[in-house]
Amino acid sequence: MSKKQAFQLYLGRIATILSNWSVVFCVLAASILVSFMLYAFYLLILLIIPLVTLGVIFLYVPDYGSWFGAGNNFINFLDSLTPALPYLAVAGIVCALASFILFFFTHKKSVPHMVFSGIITVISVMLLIGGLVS
Amino acid sequence: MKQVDIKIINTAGLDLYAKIDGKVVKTKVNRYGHTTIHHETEKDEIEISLCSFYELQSKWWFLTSIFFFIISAFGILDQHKKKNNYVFTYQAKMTQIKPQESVKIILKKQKDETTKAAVEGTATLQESINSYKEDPIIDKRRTILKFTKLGLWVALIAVCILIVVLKFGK
Repeated sequence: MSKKQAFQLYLGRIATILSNWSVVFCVLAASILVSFMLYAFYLLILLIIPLVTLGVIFLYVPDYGSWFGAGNNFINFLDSLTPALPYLAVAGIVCALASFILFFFTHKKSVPHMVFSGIITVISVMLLIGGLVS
Repeated sequence: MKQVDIKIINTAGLDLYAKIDGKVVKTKVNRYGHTTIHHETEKDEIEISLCSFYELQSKWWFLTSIFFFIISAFGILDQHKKKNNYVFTYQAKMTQIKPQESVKIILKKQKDETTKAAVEGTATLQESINSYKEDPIIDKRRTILKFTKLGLWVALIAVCILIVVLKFGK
């Protein structure tokens, strides 16, 4: 095993880690952008629970109605995260591009990984544009 | 052009490097986790060299492992490979190559003293090295790393608790 091959092995590992980081940044950015959908989902769950429990929930939680108001705190929290959206998207783009380039120099040149990094880059760019527009 | 196909069975957890006539050749891992090599040549004989490599065999194994552990968010975002502590080294000369040759090298973990990979196929091979055996150093280093990582996790949790107590403890 030459030093070059060992170096390629390390590059592959760094590329995998960067690829995983890009997914994390992308998911965080996307969840901020679609926070209104999460709020809608929260309300939907609150509406479904009484139906599923046939109203028994009101016996055990008398102030169940106040839970709907609690959603405001949730959306306020997500709103406070909005300024972080462009930074997360840029971090996602940087990590995905870096992993794409590093995969190119590794021993096995994993094409699925490179395609995946490319897709994450495109999604991150879309999130960045979405974040800047909104 | 003569076609040579080499298939190495049970290579899960192995980073395998292949050289034919001194040149690094591309290896592929198929859906069953076996490594395959396809080579085309005009020659009547070729020199095949295969070897496995672990990060834990390198000189800076501890530093590199800890570095990767930290940058991967304490191992959460790291690549998860199947653990293997068997080292494979193979060197052979393939002679009288026919238009279509295939070799199957089977790596089987043996408890007894059989420390060779089984070779099947149509090709004529003159082996100079064939070794597939357990490396106790890898196991030892892996155990050291396991406890170090555990210690780092405990330290991280302790720091988190300390921050929470200092900030909200009043």
